[in-house]
Amino acid sequence: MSDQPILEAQHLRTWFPIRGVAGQIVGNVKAVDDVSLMLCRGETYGLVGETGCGKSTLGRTLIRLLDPTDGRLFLDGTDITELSARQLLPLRARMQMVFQDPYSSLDGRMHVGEILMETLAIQKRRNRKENMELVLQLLDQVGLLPEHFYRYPHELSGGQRQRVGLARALLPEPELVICDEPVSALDVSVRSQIIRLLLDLQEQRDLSYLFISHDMSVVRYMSDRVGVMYLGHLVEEAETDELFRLPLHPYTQVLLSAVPTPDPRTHRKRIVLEGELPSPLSPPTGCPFHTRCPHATDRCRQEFPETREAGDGHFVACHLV
Amino acid sequence: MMAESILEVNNLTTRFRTERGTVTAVQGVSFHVQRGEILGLVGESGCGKSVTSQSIMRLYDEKRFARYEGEILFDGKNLLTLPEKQMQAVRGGRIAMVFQDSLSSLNPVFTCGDQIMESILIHQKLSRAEAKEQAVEMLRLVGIPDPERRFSQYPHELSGGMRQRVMIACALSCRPKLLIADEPTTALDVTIQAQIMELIVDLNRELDMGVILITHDLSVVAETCSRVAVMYLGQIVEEADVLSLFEHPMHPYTRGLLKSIPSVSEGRREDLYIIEGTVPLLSQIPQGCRFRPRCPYATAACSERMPELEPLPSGQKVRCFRASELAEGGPSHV
Repeated sequence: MSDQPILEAQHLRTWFPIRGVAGQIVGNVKAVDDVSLMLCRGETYGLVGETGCGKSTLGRTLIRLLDPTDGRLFLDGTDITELSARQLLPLRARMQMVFQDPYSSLDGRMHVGEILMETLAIQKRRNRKENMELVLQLLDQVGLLPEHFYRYPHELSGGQRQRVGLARALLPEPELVICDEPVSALDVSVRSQIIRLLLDLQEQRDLSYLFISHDMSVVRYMSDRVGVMYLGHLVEEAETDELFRLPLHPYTQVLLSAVPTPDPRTHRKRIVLEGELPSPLSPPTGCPFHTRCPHATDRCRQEFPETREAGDGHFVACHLV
Repeated sequence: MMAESILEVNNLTTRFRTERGTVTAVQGVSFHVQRGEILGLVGESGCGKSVTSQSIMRLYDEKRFARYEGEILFDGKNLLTLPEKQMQAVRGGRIAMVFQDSLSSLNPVFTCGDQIMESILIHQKLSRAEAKEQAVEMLRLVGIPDPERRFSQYPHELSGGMRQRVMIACALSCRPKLLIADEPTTALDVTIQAQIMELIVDLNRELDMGVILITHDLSVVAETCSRVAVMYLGQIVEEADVLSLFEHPMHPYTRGLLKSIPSVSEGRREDLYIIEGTVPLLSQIPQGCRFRPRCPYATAACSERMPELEPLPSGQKVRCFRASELAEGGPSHV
């Protein structure tokens, strides 16, 4: 793992405007609000958080599938924040995405071969025969057989479809892959197959992953570093072992205590959260978590906590730490 | 254990007629549920856990494509031979069900309160005012703050966790003896999942009803259930109390499943265990033991005939020829 970041985001914001009847902007959904993060080469960065915390929006913004409202984005040192779609095209090959639902992210009217060949047609100039060979090679690498080339997505199982999704992402030979809940829709036995495959491919190709998931145990297994999101903010970030051993932010503590363990003898003390996630339309003042935080003080209600380094590489945004 | 069985399923087989011939989704499933206990029914997609539960309620159309065999004893009666009229009194009355997807299970054009009242009015002889009172009481019971206001809200106005609570309130409104919860927390976030599971466990104790919890998540089972049945391809392959199952899993499939769960406390210490292959289609059920093609311990005998679900001296039941032999091979967690 080298220290040169493959991707860097500085104070990234992705806001979705809400328009009134006359088309005027009446408010913003602050899906991602002032997030800075760095992804090193060969690293897996786990991004966790609950539904609606903005982790998928962040993932998409990082590779410019969505345009950031504010902030800067660097791919391997190059500023890609302002690049036009055309300028971005050659860079697209270097950053790819794997989606959660391999069924709706594959075109049902194209067979696997067509889906994969299309990727190459966009990216490259090779002739058809070479492309076909490349596709067959990759099918083999992701654990599919040549006969799957002419299959349609509906003829494949969930695990096989996710393998196709992976093959499609890997065809342009990316350096960075955003994996948005890649194993969440899969059964336990298939899940471990795909996890193993992701790890093997990372080693072979020196890939960097941004691994988005709500499943803490999978994130723990996959990631080198983990970031925790709440209501559009990155509230804590640390190396995986550190974060799971010593979670500092109250939200991270709640999240970890809620994860069930496959051991009937452990009866851990759960921190039960009051209330529900506030709307990102009108986020609370001060610390975004203060409405549900068991330790909230007056300061938390008024003042937004800046992110501080609480230990070596351990960042947290909380007044109380 | 001397507790009274409220439900006894004996040799249940459910077949469906399809365009490509008959498939057997559930084959020879037997289990029982006692008063006050939570039985976990676990397995992966397509293992027949939902079909089993919906067969108990007889939700599949028997005139057109479904066929049930075996018997389901509830209150001393065989539900499979009960006339439709009486069955309707059982559904939602003495046996209630909570489904995974609360948004599509609740009717979007009626308020939450109306939907709870509907089941109360069908099953109990009460006036509308009394029914309303009871419905509000149910909302309070499932931990919904400000139940009077929630009563007149529509499902889309509530969050996923709140909707699931409304579903539970609906299900429990007639004080059922048996609650079937089919993946009640799968669509929810972990913090909300923890709340809902806690609610189900509390209500199970308070109302002294039996619960069948259907899930694919072994961790949820470990924390809530007292007994567990593991299903694979339409059959129960192992049944045990929760401690035995997690500490001495006997069936190779159960062992594989447990080893495939990455640990939250440990991180990546060793390679994650992989169960090779995939679940076969119901139309291509393997000869002999159904798990044989994916089993690392399979022998020639496994392909010749199908093992029965047999009790071991420990009380655990397992469907595997080599179970006792493998059990002597030492602790299975490692």
